[in-house]
This record gives sequence, C-alpha cells and structure tokens, in this order.
Amino acid sequence: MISNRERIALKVAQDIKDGEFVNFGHGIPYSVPPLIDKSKKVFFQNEPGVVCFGTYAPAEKGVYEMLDASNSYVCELPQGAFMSTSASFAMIRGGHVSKTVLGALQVDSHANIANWKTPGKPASGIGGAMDLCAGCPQVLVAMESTAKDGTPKMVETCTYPLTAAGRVTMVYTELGVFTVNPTEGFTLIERFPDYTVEEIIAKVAAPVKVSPDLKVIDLGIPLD
Amino acid sequence: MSKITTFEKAIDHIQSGMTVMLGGFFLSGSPFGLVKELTRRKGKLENLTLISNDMASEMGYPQAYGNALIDTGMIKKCICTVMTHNKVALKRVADGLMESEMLPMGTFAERIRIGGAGIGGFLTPTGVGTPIAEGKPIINVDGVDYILEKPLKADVSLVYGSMADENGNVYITGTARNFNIAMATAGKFTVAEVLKIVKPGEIDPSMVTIPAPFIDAIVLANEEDYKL
Repeated sequence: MISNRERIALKVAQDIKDGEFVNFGHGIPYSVPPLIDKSKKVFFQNEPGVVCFGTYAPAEKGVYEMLDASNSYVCELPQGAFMSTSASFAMIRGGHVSKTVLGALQVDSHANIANWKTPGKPASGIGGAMDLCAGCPQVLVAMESTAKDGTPKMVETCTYPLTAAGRVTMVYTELGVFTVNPTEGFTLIERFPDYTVEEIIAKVAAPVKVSPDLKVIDLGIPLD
Repeated sequence: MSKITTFEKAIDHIQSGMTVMLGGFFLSGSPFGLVKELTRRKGKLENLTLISNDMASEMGYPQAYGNALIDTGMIKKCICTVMTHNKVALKRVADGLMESEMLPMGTFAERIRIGGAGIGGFLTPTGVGTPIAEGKPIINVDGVDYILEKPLKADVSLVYGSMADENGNVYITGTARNFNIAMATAGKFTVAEVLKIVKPGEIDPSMVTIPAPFIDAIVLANEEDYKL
C-alpha cells in the first residue's frame, strides 16, 4: 500500500508536463522529481542558483560546491547552469520559473497560503517560499488534507501567518486535486477512487465546488 | 600588491559593534576557516550583527562551526532567511539573547545586491499581505502593490571562493556562488577564503566570478577545515 504522501507525489509527477521549468519546495514536493517519467524533459530550478536537467546526484562526501537548498547534491549536466542567488531570485520573482510546488500548513478559499510560521512560536525559516509564490505563474500546493491531529488544512480563511495572498492556483492532497482562486474558492477537479465526493467535501473546512468534468485519478498502480 | 593575508589578520578587521556578512548556503560556499577564526575571538568581540542566509547552519557537520559561532554570544542580532538547522541560534532567539530579522530569501539576496550596487531601495511584490510587510512602506506602481525594501551593507564581508589570483580575482564553481558574489560587493572590507591561489593571469578573465576590485584580502583555506 502506498502512503498518502507517496500518492500525492506520484500525482504531481504525473501532471508535470514535458518541457516545464519547476521549483520543488521542501516536504512532499521534494520527493517528486525522481518520480517524473523519464520521457519528459523537465528543468529544475533551485534557490541557491542552479538550473539543472535530470535528478539529484549521488552524494559524494566533501563536494560541497554542488548542494541545493535542501543540502542535497545536485547533478551537473551540460544542460544546466549556475548563477548567483540574486540572479536565481530574479528568475523566480520575475516569473521565469513557470511552476512551483510547495508544502503548506494551511491553504484557504482566497488562494492564500501559510507555510512558514505557527502562531505564538518564533519562526525558524522563510526560505524562498514567499518569492516563489509572488513570482511563479503557477503555485501548486502538495500536502496531506489534514494536520497530524486531524485538523483540516484546507480552510475558508487561514489562521496562520500568510506566506502569500491570493497566489495559489492548485492544491494536491490524498483526496484529490483542486483548483483555487480568490473569486471561485476551491473546485474539486479530480478525485482519488477511494474517496467519494461527499467524503472529500466533509474533509475540507471550506466550501468546495465540484467540476462538471470531475475525473477519477488513475496512477497506473494499485493504491492499496 | 598581493592581497594574500592570514586568517588572524583578516579577522582583525572585525571590531565590536560591526556588521558582518557571511557567505554560503548551508554547507555550500561557506568560508569555514574564517568562521572558525571569528569563533576564536570569543570574549574579545561583542554586539556584532551577522547577515547570513542560514546562520552558518552545520547540517550535521560540526566542523562547519556555525553553532559554535552563535554560542560565543558575540552575535547581538542576526539577519537571515532560515535558522531551522542552527539549534543554538533558535534557542538564543527564543531565550531573548539574540535579536532576529527573518526575510524572504529573494528579498535578503536583493537587499545585499543593491547594498553593494549603491542603490537606495527596491520594490518587491514578495511578502505583500504577509507579516513581512508590517512597518514597511507599500508603493503602488501601475496598479500593483510593492514593499519598499532598503539596502543591506556590511563593515566586513566573509566570502568563499574556489580559486583566486593574488590580485583578488575570484572564481567560484557550482552552487557555492550563492550569496558570495553579492556579499563581496556589499562589504566595506571583503575577505575571500579560497581553496586555491594561482598566479595573476591564470584565471581566464571571462571566467572571473568576482572581479578583484571587490576583494580586499585573500586567505588560503586549510584543507582539513573542509573535510566533512
């Protein structure tokens, strides 16, 4: 049986298109790149200042000049490029990275995202998430639908401090895939076969519209 | 005139109350030897402001000295984007012993870049509608709200290089470039710790990452500092 996190990552990987230029954040998104079908040519952008084609390189201890934002070793391939972090964020903020996939603590009906701070605790890091949300035309959130204590993470209005206002375009969870925008709120466009529409709506603490073209997700592998 | 000097003489440029920039993104492109030498000044230096992406996070490698540096207590304030992996820094902030200004990474990088470029501020859409915007002017340009962010500068910048010539031209490979390029321009006095020193002319001018006028001093890294 595959875990919730694995099915979310597999679905994101399935939807990444040939030729896309993507930045993957920490958490579930970071596990996506190796799952993308090798027939697709996908370029990865990473915050310190690297554009590379392909997947992560095997770790070689002591080579600390080729690390990404998660301290993993990046590949160095002829198709890649290195730049300063200032240029990296010109690329991000300037809208030249077509898509970012981020984890989140909360996403709301107004397309707001909260993913850097829990109320009442000092923040431990912002990283590149705010710039990625501000600049990337497509902001995908990949997260489990509930927190560890069962609290829904898709809500009507975020109660956690925001990372960006009105910038999220899609939400991937173990229930299915939703579009979101500030005027329409959440719309369920695809569902995993083991959840009914009613079950999905019950797990979201915000109004959910259902697309007339609602599809059932087929990952090509058994879910259980 | 050769810019090559020793770790001791390089760090002697730092005095109490100064602002210090430290290059590197986690382990990548971090001048470990300079951090180690600064850490040795425990008890002699105080009230420093440290501008560093991740507070020299060690990421499980204590040889990188980041936690030890914060533990000296010489850092009064830090300006960073993430301190998740520096537990000593997190604890000092939680205990009220160190002030922290946390920024979005692109804002952090650009504030340093304009600090070195003589620009008085820049307008960014990043952080509009979030706590980052609090207390900062919002300027609307052609219907879009932007935050006015001011430049960051340093008295001394500590950066990393893969190679340098004795005139101070620096070449950096891979992701080790990160903040080192902008920080070299934003420091009144910039020291580059490099893995290799070559004769002037040996670095192809087209391959120079940081041109010599931005570099005031060069120190040759000790190999053992980089054995992780």
